[in-house]
Amino acid sequence: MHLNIKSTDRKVEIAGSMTDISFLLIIFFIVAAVFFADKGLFLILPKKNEKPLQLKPDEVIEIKLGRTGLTLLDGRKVSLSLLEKTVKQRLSVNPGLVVVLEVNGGVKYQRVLSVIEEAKKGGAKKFSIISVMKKPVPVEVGDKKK
Amino acid sequence: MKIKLYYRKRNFSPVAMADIAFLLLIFLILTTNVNNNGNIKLPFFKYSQKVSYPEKIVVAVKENGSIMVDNKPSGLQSLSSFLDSLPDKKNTIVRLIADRSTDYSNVDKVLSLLKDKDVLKIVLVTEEPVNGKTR
Repeated sequence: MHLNIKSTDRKVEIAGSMTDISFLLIIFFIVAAVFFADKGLFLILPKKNEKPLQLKPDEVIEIKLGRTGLTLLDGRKVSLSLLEKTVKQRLSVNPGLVVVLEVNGGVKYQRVLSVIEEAKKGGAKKFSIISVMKKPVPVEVGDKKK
Repeated sequence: MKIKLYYRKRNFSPVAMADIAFLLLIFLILTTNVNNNGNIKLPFFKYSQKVSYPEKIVVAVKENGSIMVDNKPSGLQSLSSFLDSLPDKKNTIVRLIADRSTDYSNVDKVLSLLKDKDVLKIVLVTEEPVNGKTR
């Protein structure tokens, strides 16, 4: 019996498309790897029983963030736009200065990061954040009837 | 004069269509703004850096101060017991996703708890400002 076998070039076609797909998958994974990478501010917290570092007043830049939107730098009111310049000036005299942020608990998180951003722009590298939780003063409303 | 027209039979390849569909899929995935953080609006921060995670936990703080751990509603107490059960605290990195409008005290509570539990590596997840859009 004579079998008539027709050869087709199907194999070649499949191989070509497989290359395409594998190439697309590579592109997808490369892009996805970059896409899902997290960005943020990396912190290392001090250990629980670590003795706090004692700093002299001339070794720190003290920034206070009040709940009402007030920013105080070394006791003087300063706007966020001027913060960078002031920090830069202070660091040019003493580059090892630590920025101590005293934050009121009611301040919005974004504002804290904005202040850190401005200080970083000014060249600050070392930060210490202190949160101040002030309990509200109890206020009596209305007259007490005796 | 008689012009003879030859029509070449073109082969339609479904594989090429799959390729195109796949490309379109990639394009759509990339252009859609994916937000895995629920309703949390990330704070803007210019100097963010990329961090690789050996082992990570996701702690989210919503605008009202409520806490989520690994996308499950939680509280400070359950976060505390969860942190106690961690096998390798030293190498654990916590992704702290806090809403930009939340009070700092809510973030500070979580940070203090993490410090107490000896989980010291934290990433404050932020968003890079686009077109000067900050604060």
